[in-house]
Amino acid sequence: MSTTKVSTTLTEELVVEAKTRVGERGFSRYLDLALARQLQFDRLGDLERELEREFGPIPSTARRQVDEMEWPS
Amino acid sequence: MAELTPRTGRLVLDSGGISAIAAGNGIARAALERARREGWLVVIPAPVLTEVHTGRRDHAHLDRVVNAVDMLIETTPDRAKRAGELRSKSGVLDVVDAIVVAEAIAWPPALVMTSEPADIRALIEAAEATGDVKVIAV
Repeated sequence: MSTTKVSTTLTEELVVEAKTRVGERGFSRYLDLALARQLQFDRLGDLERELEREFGPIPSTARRQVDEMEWPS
Repeated sequence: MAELTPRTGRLVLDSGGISAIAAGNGIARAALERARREGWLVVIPAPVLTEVHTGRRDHAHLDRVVNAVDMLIETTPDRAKRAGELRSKSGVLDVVDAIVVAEAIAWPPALVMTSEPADIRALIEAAEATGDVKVIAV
């Protein structure tokens, strides 16, 4: 994948915290991953709405069954 | 993209999981929604595409799911070898299923959404990872 340089304005406290965690050199990668994660979150939200238009709401029995599943942590 | 999730759980989709979401399956949709709500990252091991992609137009509904996820994991040689070990130990012959489980156990905790729960569970048991990786049967 190609990369691009951007100039943007970020919240100072967040930048400091992120750089403390991953260092100066890891910052771009960290930001990139955060963006990838947020974009997936938004795309899956779009998909959920499309599926709801197509198939109707998620049946309450299915929702209950999934919510009661014990997921690993 | 494996390094994307050192601190978070991943929901791994196999071709059955992708098909179930595309077909509007209630359990698949509810699990996807819960995963999103709880911050799980959704991933597809790239070899799964061999079972999804036909080159014809009839897979457009599956592409919609693949494109929304857009986090494909490329198989490294180490992961392929691990899949081979699990395949041999479990007796499950399907190569793609073995790769799916090898990816799931690599970054626990993980969930596998599949329409082949028996095979996937056998592979997870072969990896002795039943506490870290759960199956969502659709």
